[in-house]
Amino acid sequence: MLKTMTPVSDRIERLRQNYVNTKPSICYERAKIYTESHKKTEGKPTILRRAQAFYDFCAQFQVRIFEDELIVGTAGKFRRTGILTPEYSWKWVDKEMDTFPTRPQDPYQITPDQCDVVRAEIFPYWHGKSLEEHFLAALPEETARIAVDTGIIDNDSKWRQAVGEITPDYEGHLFVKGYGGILKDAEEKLATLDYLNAEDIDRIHYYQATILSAKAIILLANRYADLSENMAEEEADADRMAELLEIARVCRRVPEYPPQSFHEATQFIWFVQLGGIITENPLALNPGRYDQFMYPYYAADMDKGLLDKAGAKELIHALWLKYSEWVWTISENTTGYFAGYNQFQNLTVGGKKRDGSDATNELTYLCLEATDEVRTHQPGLSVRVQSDCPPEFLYAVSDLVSKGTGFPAIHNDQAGIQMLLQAGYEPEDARDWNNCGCVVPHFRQTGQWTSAVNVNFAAAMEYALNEGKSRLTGEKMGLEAKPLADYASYQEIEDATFEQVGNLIHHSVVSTVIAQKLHAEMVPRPFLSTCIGHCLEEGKDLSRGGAKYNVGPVLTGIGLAVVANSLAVIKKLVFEDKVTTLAELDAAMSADWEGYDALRTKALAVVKYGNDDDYVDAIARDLANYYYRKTRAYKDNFGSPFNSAFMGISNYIPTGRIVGATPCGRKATKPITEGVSPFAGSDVKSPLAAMRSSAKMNHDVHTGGTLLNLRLSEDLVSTPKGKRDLGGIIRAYFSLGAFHVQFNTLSTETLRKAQKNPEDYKDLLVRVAGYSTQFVNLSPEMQEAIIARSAHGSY
Amino acid sequence: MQDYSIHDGEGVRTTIFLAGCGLRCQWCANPESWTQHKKLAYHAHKCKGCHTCRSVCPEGLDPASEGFDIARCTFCGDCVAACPEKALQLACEAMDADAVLDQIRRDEIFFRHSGGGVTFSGGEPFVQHQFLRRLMAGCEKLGVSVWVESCGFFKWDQCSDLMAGIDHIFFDIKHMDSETHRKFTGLGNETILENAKRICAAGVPMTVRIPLITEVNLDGRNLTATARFMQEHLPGSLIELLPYHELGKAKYSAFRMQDDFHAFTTPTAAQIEAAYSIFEHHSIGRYQ
Ligand code: SF4
Ligand code: SF4
Repeated sequence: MLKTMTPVSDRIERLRQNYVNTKPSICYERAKIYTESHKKTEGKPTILRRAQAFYDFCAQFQVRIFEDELIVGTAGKFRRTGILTPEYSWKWVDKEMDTFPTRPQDPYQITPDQCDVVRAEIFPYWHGKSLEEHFLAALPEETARIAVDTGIIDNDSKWRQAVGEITPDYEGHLFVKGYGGILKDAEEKLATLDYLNAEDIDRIHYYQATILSAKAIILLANRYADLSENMAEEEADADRMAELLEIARVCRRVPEYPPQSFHEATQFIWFVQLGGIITENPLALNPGRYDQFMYPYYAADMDKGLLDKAGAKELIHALWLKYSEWVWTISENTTGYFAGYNQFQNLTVGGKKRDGSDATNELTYLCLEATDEVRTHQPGLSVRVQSDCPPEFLYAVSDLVSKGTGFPAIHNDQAGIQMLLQAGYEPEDARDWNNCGCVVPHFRQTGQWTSAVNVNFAAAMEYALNEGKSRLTGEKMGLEAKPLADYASYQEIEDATFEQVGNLIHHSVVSTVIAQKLHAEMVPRPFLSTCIGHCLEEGKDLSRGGAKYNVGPVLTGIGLAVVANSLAVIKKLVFEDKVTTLAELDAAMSADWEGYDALRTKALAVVKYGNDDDYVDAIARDLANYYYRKTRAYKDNFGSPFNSAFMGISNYIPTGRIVGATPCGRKATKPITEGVSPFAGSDVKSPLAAMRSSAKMNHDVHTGGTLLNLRLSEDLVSTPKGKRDLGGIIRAYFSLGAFHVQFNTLSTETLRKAQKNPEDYKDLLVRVAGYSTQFVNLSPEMQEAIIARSAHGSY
Repeated sequence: MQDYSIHDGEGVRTTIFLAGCGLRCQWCANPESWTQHKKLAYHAHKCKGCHTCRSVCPEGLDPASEGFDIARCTFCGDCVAACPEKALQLACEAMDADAVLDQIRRDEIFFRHSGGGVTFSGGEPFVQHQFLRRLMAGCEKLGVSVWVESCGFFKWDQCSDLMAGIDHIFFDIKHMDSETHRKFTGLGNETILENAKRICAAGVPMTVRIPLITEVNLDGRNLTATARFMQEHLPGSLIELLPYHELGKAKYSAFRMQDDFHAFTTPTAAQIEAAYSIFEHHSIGRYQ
């Protein structure tokens, strides 16, 4: 067993062992209570039905406090629990539920008996009522054939799941008002509205739903307080008894009232998170700028002598464990895109304050340390590195990199600010950005679909090169295209490829706006809307554009490097060197390179993206620029332009599965590429060259974020000098205008050992893409993909 | 060339290996850089025996075989590109100064933010002094700091003008006794010690490096003599001890130079510390 060397308290170590050793289990309680509730509220406004169901859950669910817990609350009866949300979708659960325990990626425990209950008592009610069913019925046929479970364009997390992708506003709203204050405000607003004004009706329903939601979360907290008091009475151990009484006191206060201590603020955050989980089972429900909004409570408690560093650390550790214990229940298809039980709760530290000064404080460092100490895969820790940040901060960042957990995700503050300015944010808000999910610059008063669609660039290229058809199935999936051999110039091929990308963008937009419309109608978000002050002011739900900023959905391009590499091969070998013909290349790809070894060798020898060579990098840049222009030309249901991104998730694996051999030398069905990262193993020169290539991509216009993953040899960051030098490299990379970089520093040897003896490496974290997760929790295929990323660092 | 090198001086550095060296140290970890002619390395442990290299070689050679006839190899690199296991590698390729400077220009942004620069290493970088002169002139224009790693064996008159452009030099003193020096490196140490004095007199900050090898120079007498020499003739110089390691061994087989390989013993941590204390005793600072 890899033991954490750094000090965590015995209690945290026990909680941690439990988290590492327990398989997540599905609890259907939430689905059952929601279903019963919905049966009773038929005909009522949807938003009120959703709020009532939440209230019923908070009133009926049997609350539990587990051994050793300091921060309490789960969405199901297990510590590591996943819930079901049939109002979004249930068909895939019905189909996959029996294999949940045995599926290769992200298995869940569920017994046959439990499956029976779910099938008998829950799903029948939702026939024909779920978001999924309505979405599939509304989607035009020509979009459906490339958008539903195909890997060509993929947005199933937006119609099988809730959106999530919210950063609750603790600093300016929740911690200021508490839910008691929100309730009062809603009541006052309600008193000024009149059913006789047609435009007031929706707002009346909205405020009624807000009141119900606020009462619900307060009730839930008080039920935990009751339980804790009861447990205290039974408790033999005096220390634990005192703790339980303190937990009860805290739960009586928050989230009804503004928090007054670090402990109260911590529990407040968890109740908000819990409310979000129960109502939506969301991805990317981000803590946001934790070191900023928690600092006043930390500093005040330290001043008063109520808290010491160890105490603060223990609460941070406990919260980190809470973020990690629950699981985002998702389909097998979705696990391909978001592998590793990941919930994408992004916590951002560092950067600038709203006034432009440096924002780092003691808590910033505690967050970095805690992430190393407790070794949980959540929260997703991001840092903002601004030009004037203290060298100590940069050093602490490199130090965490050297621990090999894949954390933190390192961001260029200036680029993040620039991205938000371009999206129309006020400068103060732009400086106050945090990350959403993995690498999307975001702000706590924003409504946005930050990961709306994955767009498979390599598939688009395949259609240009293969008469509009998939090479693997022969089915026509793209725009009409002529036989490859008929193209007369390189430029013609490049244009045709871009045009096919444009077509996928078009269908992505269609699919997104339909989903947006249905979300507003069918699954409004009364609870998460309470987290954004502007919704309360306007009386408008998040799903209807109630946030201060409604930023356009993000389309993520996947396979940038594969397409650039492939086009470079065509340009060089066919049109410049004339060592092959289009016809031969076509045949080679159809044969998956079988029998074309010599040609494949030549293809592999053509310079690849990631080696700082403009021959191929310029193609990638042109494609990225084209993608940006095309995407921005579309508007969503709120009139906001769509946004481009090159981010990660684990989407480069499933998207690769549907693409035949590519001219770059890649074999059929192999992974393509993530973000602005080079093709695995092809960035042979050095990480510096890979950075220079990536920095050519005008990062600041891709407001949905860009992502570069690199593996570094452990030795490069094992000494103080190595850590300082890495800091210099990060600064240099950012001075080129790039937005994000993240490092895996585990040796191939360590990873191989972990594959052989997974039992001994249960807590080994690796960077997947935009996030970290336990290596042993990845499917063998994913593990190979991680190992294949070239490790830099021979010297 | 090797960029992102962190062990060859301040900050992140790009190390440029200039081939050719007059010494033949028995423990050398870079034997491929003794001579300037091109070489093809074959890493047997990576090779899976797929014969791809053989099938692509335009000369009909098999670089993975025992009987590979290097004399017929044109160093075209086809086999290197084709090998799926990356088991083949070219060394000592001819590069022109502009290409080297272009790479330095690309890396400059990383030097700027880490306080790094270029380190010329070898072989013995002063052997190719004309080429080095061109590169150093380029570095001066780019504002890039220049460090040098030298074994000390070169003709002073050919290189004295270069000293003004060097920000720091790592200078090897392998043994103070000329006969022992000759036994293990092929040459006596007179020129080397003389050059050390001259470099120091020219004002180049210096770190003396000793490759610490149990069988060769790890004795109090030699180390004390080195420290005295430094104290007397190399004022202000620092000391760095590089314990012998066997990592070079693979290279001897890769370059089919097994016959030149000699095994030595790596000193223990305690021995290294004891060696440092001798220098400390002579008020000589430690390079870190
Ligand atoms: S470098 Fe060229 S000539 Fe030499 S073995 Fe390889 S392919 Fe043959
Ligand atoms: S191509 Fe590479 S792996 Fe195959 S036989 Fe030659 S050296 Fe060995």
